[in-house]
Amino acid sequence: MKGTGEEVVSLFYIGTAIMLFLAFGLLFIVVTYQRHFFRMKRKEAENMLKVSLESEKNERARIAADLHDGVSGDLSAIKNYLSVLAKKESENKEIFDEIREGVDAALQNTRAVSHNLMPPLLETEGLVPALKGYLESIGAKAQIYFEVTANGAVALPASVAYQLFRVLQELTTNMVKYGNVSKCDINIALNKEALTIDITDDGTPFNFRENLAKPNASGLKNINSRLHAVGGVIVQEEEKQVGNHFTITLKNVNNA
Amino acid sequence: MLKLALVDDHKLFRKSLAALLGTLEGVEVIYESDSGKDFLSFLKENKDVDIALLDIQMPEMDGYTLCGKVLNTHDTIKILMISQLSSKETIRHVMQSGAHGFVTKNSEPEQLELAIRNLNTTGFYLGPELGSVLKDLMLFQQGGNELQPDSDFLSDREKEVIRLICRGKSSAEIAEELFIHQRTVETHRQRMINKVGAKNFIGVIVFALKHNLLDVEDLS
Repeated sequence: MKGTGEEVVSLFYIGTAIMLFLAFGLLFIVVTYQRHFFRMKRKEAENMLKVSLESEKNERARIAADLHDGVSGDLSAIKNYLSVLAKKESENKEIFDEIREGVDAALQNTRAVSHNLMPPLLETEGLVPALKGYLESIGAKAQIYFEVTANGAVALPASVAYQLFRVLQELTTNMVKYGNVSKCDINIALNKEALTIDITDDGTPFNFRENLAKPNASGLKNINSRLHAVGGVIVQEEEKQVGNHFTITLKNVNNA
Repeated sequence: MLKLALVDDHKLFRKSLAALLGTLEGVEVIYESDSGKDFLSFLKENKDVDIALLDIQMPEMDGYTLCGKVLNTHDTIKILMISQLSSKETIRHVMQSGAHGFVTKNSEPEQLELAIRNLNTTGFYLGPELGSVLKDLMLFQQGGNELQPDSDFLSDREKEVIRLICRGKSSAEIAEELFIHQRTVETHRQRMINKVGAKNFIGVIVFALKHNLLDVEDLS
């Protein structure tokens, strides 16, 4: 009898051990699967972000080119025909002048919209010349002195250059709108494969992280997701009495 | 009659430009096309084009390439690039391509006429666009460690000729002003182009500016 009692006890232990083992095994499988599932989800979301940013870029480029090559050319043609007519006709001079002014305004607006959609230099000359050209024109209007410096020719993959341009466009638009900025320095440095962009201004300080949490911060969220898509981060250096200092870093520009 | 050729794939614009140029006195548009290749084969038969106006962005062959090919076989044709593009990089490319002038597509008709007249009398046209890029080039070049030619690399007479050419004077007018023969003026021009190793006179001006043999003020 004693022998069977011991047998039952050991059977009980073995049984419990097996049950526990199975239970943990099941738990392990569930957890692993879930982690795998989330990782897949996240990867999918990242891919979606990349795809949507990429198609946004292509669409903007297409509209910009259509406007620039098509509509601008048509408007210039109208302007030429007007000049031909005005030469032959000595009457109605004022109306001719009015029409010409109208066409000129339409031409300028078309060019501005097109450049805003896709800066013409970005594709051909890269980030730095495109940025310089863009900031020169908005700086002149907003009375902000932008200075862009770079260590040599910063050669970046086209998609990275585009996203960085949009990020810097967003940041500088904020400066123009709310920042009370009179001078802004942008320094771009590419060392081997790591890119650092320092942005310093002398305007009203604002906290990037706090503002990001606000529901209407679509611009800042935009900055974050664009940087995320190319594997970059933006860090705000310590808050100061006057001005802001942001640093954007990309560890590996070719791996974005 | 000044004989002009137009190559631009934007049809409406090309037609309007032909109409506008047709109203200018002493100017005749003898050829227009949307393809650089067609223009090149036209040139094989017809050698009397004086000025060719070329668009830059064209599908088959862009304006820079076309410009080079035209100048290779017909070095007496003056080339005026005409484009929607107006960035400094574009203009730098235009200068490198050996073109004799540049205007944007939305230039005023007066500027276009001035460009055509200048190409005819002086052989090049420095509009506001080219001028501003040249100034940039100057600032950019300062502090460069390129070898400086001696200050007498160009003679005083040669510098004088450059200055007068920059003011839009023709060889005949320069000859009159300097009391020399017109052919001497031509010789000076050609010798400077050879000395500098430039493709055309714009190259000489760029060189002279770059090496401080000429002031930007002399351009206007």
